[in-house]
Amino acid sequence: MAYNPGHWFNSAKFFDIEYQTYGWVFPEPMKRNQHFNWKHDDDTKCITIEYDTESHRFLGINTFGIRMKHETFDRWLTEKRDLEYVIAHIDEANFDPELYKLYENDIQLEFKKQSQPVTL
Amino acid sequence: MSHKLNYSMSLAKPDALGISVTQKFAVGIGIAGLFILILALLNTDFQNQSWFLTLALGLISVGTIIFSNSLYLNKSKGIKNDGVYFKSISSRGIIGWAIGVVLTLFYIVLYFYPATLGLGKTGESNTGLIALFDPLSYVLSGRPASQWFVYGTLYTVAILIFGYKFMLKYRHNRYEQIRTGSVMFFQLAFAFLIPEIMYRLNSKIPYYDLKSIWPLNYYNFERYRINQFIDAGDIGLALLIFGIVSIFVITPILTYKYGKRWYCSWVCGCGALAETVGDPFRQLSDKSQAAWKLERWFVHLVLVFVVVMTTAVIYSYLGKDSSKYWLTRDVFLILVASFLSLIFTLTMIFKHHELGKDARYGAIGFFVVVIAFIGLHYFSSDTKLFLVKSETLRTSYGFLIGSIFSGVIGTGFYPIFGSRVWCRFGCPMAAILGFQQRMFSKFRITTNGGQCISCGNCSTYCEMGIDVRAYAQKGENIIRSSCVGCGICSAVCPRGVLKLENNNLKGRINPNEILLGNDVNLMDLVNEK
Repeated sequence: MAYNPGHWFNSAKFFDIEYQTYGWVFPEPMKRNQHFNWKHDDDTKCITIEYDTESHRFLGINTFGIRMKHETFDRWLTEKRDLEYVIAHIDEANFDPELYKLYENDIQLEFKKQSQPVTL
Repeated sequence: MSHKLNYSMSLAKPDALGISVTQKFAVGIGIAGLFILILALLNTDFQNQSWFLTLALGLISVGTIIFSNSLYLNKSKGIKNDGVYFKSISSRGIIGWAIGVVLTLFYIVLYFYPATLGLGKTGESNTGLIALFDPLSYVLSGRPASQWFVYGTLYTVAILIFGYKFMLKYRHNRYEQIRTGSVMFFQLAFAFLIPEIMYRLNSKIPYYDLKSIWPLNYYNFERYRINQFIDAGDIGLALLIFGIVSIFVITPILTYKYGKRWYCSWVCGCGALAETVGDPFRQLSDKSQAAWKLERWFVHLVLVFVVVMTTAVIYSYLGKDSSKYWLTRDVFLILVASFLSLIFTLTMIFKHHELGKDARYGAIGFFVVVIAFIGLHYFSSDTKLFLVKSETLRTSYGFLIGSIFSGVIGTGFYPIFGSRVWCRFGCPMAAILGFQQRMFSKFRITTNGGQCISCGNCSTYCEMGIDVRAYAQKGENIIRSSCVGCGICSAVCPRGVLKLENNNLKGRINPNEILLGNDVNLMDLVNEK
């Protein structure tokens, strides 16, 4: 049986902050790609999504301080979902323990703010 | 965070685990408080008892609070279990062993020789340690303290101050914070204050901790209790009905919705002590398969024991004449037997495929109980049940299970066997809730795809001795009757793999879940052999 890795994923814990990654997110976006970034005011939670500038196809996500579901992102990567879909459904991927404060709304608001065309 | 240079360069024990100056100071304060209690035990005649009691409990509390603050507040939020296997107290070292012995002796004295603690014989006033608690008892209920009042007060103080420590330790985790707030509240209000206040309002009401449910309070339906309830009028009757409703109605509904954790790690007093005071010992629970087998035999045998014992005790005081009162001995036996048969039949019809070999043990257990009832019917006289006296059955349960198991072994052995020995091996309430959690509940712990790195933190810190990692590695949901839902496995996981959830019954058990992260299905390889 040939080795056939699925979509890239990993996780770690740095100084009490949990990190997870699904798909590919590079320090600087690759050519023809862009980043969407959201960071919480307390500097312990953030997400970075890499996506294709043209098609808006979702390519990968980095999360700090928020747990996400492997299964959901694996599926979305296979289904080649776009950035808008992922942001709109990001609450489905949350894996934080019960009773935790959730930040999906903040992320979605931030996304709305960033994606609005600047009007003069 | 410590920036101290690591001179030894040892990976196994990088730092000497000394304590800071503040911590030494805090230990001094706490021990001073404890010393006052020891002086009281030695019959020291304190002129102003209420002042010394306040001082003792105050010093113990302040010491613990200062110590906890110094231990956690100067470090970043997050799991801080550093060095648990190097510290003598939490790794069965000399301090752990000594504390285990002292606690065990304390429980033996508390249960069997309360006069040693200073309990006054009937009519006489208290002396020693118990007398020290008289002022507080008078304030709350207007009567002198008993050994149980002393124990209750110390128990509550311990849960409150160590609950504070627990909250600091897990202050990054909202589930743990709220859960600990809940156990602290239920202990303080339901177990400690409300029964005393109820006594003040109506002295005929028997002591009733509303959150203690049969079979945990195995004595609840004994003759003297029933008489007390009835004598106390409407409120007594209400309490009696509440006692029945809480096990037959409230418990199944809440366990269906949330799993047994609604009780074991959110409400129960034994659970409260295990989760707060017992937290440093949770890694000592035995994870071996042998322990798991022993656990299932023990906990279910205790359940069978308590069911037969309670039925026999109620049977022994019921009448025979149905014209006087509808609930006669025979009606009662038939009711109990049909209720058990109903549960047994339903389980066998709907859940037989999930049970495997355990179904046979269950069936044997069931028939033993039913035959015991039939025997009860044919071979009992007014005082004797089968060949034993009903009183003997009751007292031996009270002695073996109520005192030795739940108190002496359950709590005394914290530093040796971990914090949940009683909950895991002995508690009949946990057996009922666990059966329901396994068979009919929305609760499960889900795992997160292929993220598990097999570090084993989850299994290590599982106080119920569940090998959580074995499930997480395979991407299986964890559905175990013993799981009390404390949430620590999820908290200590460095990779965010575990999550406690209530969800649909469908797909709850997924024994052959595909391992994510490799499109070669490893489970196929495993199953191929």
